[in-house]
Amino acid sequence: MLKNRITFKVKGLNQERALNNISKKVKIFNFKREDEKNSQFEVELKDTKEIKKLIENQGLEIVSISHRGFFYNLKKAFLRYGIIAGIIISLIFYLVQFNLVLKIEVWGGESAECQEVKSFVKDNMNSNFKSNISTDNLEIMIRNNFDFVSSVSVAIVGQSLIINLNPAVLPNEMGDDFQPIVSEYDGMITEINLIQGTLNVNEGDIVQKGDVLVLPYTTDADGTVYQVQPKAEIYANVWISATASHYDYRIESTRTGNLFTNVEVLLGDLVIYSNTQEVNFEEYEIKSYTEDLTKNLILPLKLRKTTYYEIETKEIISNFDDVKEDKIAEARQKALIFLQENDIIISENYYISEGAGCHIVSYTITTNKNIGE
Amino acid sequence: MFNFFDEIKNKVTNFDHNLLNDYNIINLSGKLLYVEGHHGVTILSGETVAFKIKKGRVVVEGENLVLNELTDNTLLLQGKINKVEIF
Repeated sequence: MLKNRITFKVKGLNQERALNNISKKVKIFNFKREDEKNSQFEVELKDTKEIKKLIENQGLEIVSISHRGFFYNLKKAFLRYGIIAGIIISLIFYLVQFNLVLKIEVWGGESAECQEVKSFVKDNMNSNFKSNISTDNLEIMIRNNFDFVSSVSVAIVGQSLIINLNPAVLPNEMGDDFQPIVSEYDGMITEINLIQGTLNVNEGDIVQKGDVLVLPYTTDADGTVYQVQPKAEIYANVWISATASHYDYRIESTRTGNLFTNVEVLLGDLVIYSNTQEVNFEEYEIKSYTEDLTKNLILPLKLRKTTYYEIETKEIISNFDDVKEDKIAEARQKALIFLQENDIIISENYYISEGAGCHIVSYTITTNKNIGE
Repeated sequence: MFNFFDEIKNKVTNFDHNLLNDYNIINLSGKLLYVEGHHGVTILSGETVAFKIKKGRVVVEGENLVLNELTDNTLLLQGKINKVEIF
């Protein structure tokens, strides 16, 4: 059982002579004569190579070779089951490492800060197994230990621990650069409540959009200037205007509803197919667009569609007095668009200017609002 | 090293030992035949095995004879050994 032997089945004449010659070099075991031409015998595993040459030299034909023995079976089993064992070992290895966090990534901060957080997390992770990592705890620990972090989210994605930092923003008062309050509207100042800073305007002043209302500093009795964040409530009558025009004579084009579309297929700029027809409209508008026929870039095929709309042109002569109310309403409507939801209208007025064949209605709405927010 | 044949030879004192160096055959219960000093097998079958010895030939007859081991000068025969003839 433990002996490693190879059984040769051989075929040929005069086997006794061949056997004698072989046995001079190699020890032969369990020789059995099956018939005059066929026989089988065993040799030790180590003699395999030599015996093959000897058998051939003796003019015998090897019919079959078979193996037996513990070490041979072990080797065979290893080869046969080696692949399966390899797959199983790989699978186990994969499963184990799949459950591990192998990389820590920190996003959202300066590189030095990220590095600092990364080292901190590395030191404070109990284990690399995903199941042992509490992302909630890590978030709390990072928030508590780093002032520059205002909020943080920690997540395990694949085999990476992703830490997303939101850096804390310093309030304006703590910064060096204070900005003045500027007017957001045109208007006349009606009321000022200064909280902090230095006023640059007075009640009754007319200001335009962009004018400085409050400067970002204060001066004490000694004349020392302190930079501060300006704060104030500055109310003003704000004028919101819009216009509507009317022409006594104008030409108006309208679509009749007749149209047709020409289609062309392009390869790059080259037209490779077209289905076009002649334009029979006297007057028309053209609308054209091109789209890719394929989603890949291998063939740059494009489809170009050109639509021709028939139009008709009319000369329109109208009297301003007939449409005056409509134009005033139109101008008012345009002005109302600029009003905000809670604005209170103080007054409304309009005036009409007249040019060569043209009337312009200017509509102004006056409202009172805080312009220094 | 112990040698079975040498032990037997040493038991005989009034004989020239050089005359005993040609070949040795031992038959174990008619089931095994061990041979030292053969000069090559001449017949091999399940019923007959013959081999040359110095100045002669040995023919073994039996049933289910198997050449259990064969080297340059020894052989071990297994099976039912009915007759061993030396010519």
